[in-house]
Amino acid sequence: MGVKIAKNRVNEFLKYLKEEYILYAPVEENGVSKISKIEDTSDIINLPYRTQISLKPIFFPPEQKFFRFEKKNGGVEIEDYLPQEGDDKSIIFGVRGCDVNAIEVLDKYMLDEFEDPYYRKRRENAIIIGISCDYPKESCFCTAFGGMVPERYDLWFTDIGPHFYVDIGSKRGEKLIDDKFFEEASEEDEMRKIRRINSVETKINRKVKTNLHDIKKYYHKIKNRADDSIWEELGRKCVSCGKCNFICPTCHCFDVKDMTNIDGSAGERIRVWDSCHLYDYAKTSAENFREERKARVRYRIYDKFVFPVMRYGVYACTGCGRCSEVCPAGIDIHAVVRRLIK
Amino acid sequence: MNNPYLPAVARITDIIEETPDTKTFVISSPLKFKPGQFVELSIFGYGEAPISISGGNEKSIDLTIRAVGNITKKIHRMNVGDYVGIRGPFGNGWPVERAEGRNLLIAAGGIGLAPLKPVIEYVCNNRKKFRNVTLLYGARKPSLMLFKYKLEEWSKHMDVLLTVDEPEEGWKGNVGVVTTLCDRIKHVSDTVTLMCGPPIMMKYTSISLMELGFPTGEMYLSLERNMKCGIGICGHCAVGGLYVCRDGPVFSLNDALKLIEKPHEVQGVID
Ligand SMILES: Cc1cc2nc3c(=O)[nH]c(=O)nc-3n(C[C@H](O)[C@H](O)[C@H](O)COP(=O)(O)OP(=O)(O)OC[C@H]3O[C@@H](n4cnc5c(N)ncnc54)[C@H](O)[C@@H]3O)c2cc1C
Ligand code: SF4
Ligand code: SF4
Ligand code: FES
Repeated sequence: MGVKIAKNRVNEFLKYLKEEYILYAPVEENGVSKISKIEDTSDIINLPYRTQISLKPIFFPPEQKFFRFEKKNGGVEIEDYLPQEGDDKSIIFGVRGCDVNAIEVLDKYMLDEFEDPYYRKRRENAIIIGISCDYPKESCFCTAFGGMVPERYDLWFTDIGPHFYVDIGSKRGEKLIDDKFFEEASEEDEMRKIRRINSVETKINRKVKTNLHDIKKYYHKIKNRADDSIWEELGRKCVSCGKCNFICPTCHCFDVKDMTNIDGSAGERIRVWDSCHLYDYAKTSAENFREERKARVRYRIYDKFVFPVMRYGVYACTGCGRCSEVCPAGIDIHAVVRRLIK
Repeated sequence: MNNPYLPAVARITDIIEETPDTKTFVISSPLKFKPGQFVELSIFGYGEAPISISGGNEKSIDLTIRAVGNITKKIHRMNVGDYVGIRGPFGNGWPVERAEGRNLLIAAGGIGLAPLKPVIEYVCNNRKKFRNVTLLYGARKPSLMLFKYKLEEWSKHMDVLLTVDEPEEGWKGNVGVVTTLCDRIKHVSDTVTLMCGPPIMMKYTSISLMELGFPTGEMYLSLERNMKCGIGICGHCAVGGLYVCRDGPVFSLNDALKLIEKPHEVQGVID
């Protein structure tokens, strides 16, 4: 049986968490909603759906310094920044299902097969408290991939009136349940929660009408469209700005650069986000592997619906709809996928 | 926590001028490597580039580098005693063991000879393990041929077939692209082929060898892709869902042909 928390106790609960953890939660800055570090819990905003910016920057920031180097005493000295990376315990509150799923996808790329130590440090000690959406955003299509509630989380909140019903998904989550804030939920509360989730999912579904649950089947279908004229068409529309990559919660490509002082005697090696839509992404001194824009457009779509399925058995798209929201060319990934599986 | 992005600092201990645009740098980095593997070479302040290991011993590795851009031109201006950084070795390397007891064809174009040199040296030191061995090597001009000072030694152990696109004074050998030499190879069946060179060379050599009846299942190509991390995370080297830095750089021709995104090296090989 789950527990519940009265809505007017949530702020107290978050303050209590903040004593021991670094707290992240939805805020709005300069008109953009995102999940940020919270100094004052009154900054937290109540949204009915996901934030505009995903969780990605928390675990995989747009710029990551690797190390510092300095040419000294006829040699080179290196100072590794990894030990300084905080591995503080954090709690991320108010995350939506699509973004929890996206983090699981990032884990596949950056923890499971090949490990990125900077990502690991930030990710390992992060506790996820998610929450069911009240209604979908225009661009949302999470139900194409499954429900609104992810498989894994630490705690999961669902609005059931004066309370949030709280599902406990892990030992770490269970430890946060203090009876100062939580009370036992009744069977009726649980029924309310289920009805609530069903009703929102039905609302999303009615709009979405796409079902990609049968991964094997749909990945094959999309894979078989490699030579389709749709790529030519999208290639003509796309302007290669890379916004879709940067906003996507699962896109994880990066470039590595050295930034030096004026005489080059010292500097830092950093990584910055990169985009597979950009012209030079796969360029070498010998050739440019995806010189044509249509090849780059296809690559990104395939790297969401085909390649990760081949390698990890999952889609790398969670239906958050952000890339459709930001694309200046009006390319709507949900519409693209719908055409591909027709 | 081990940091795979951190290079080990090493020194340039010797520099061998190979051709006007290529030098071999001996780097004080004692790495155990498989022929065909590469390192990420750091020039601090300039960045990193993937470079094949062209030789080595307990104390050092050799990197044979053609000056083409930012980092590679910079190292050409560096001197013995200067410091660089090394990460690696990375990649799968050549499946040399598959050729043991069989015939071996080593086909190289231009700088593509560098990653094959450790294979050639292994063959020279373990000649009995292989049956017929041929080295096929093409360069743009005779003056651009790498490791010329080694060719005599190598030809004691294997058939060495050389060609250039444009002859220069004194060149008595073959003129023409690598494919013009293919029908001079004395062994066809049961041959394992290891190939590295510019995309165009690999493509046409593959076609020629297939026409001559070389087993396609035993042809291996080393692919060159843009790389930033070398460890399967940055995404740059991905081809059809595989990471050239981790799953490659060596792929069998059959596997390369099955990729959804056809590498230029094999585009048009079968159609
Ligand atoms: C597995 C592998 C092994 C290689 N072995 C050798 C070798 O033994 N000798 C040699 O001379 N060259 C080799 N190359 C090619 C070498 O990596 C490029 O020439 C080099 O990266 C160019 O860097 P640059 O800064 O001089 O050029 P720029 O054009 O200034 O390149 C900037 C950046 O783009 C990327 N890039 C550009 N060209 C290439 C390329 N061809 N391959 C991969 N990334 C590229 C690199 O990240 C580089 O840092 C190899 C490439 C690969 C993938
Ligand atoms: S591809 Fe688009 S819809 Fe899918 S997860 Fe990325 S941003 Fe969201
Ligand atoms: S956001 Fe749209 S225009 Fe920009 S790269 Fe992505 S698909 Fe192309
Ligand atoms: S070079 Fe970064 S993934 Fe291969």
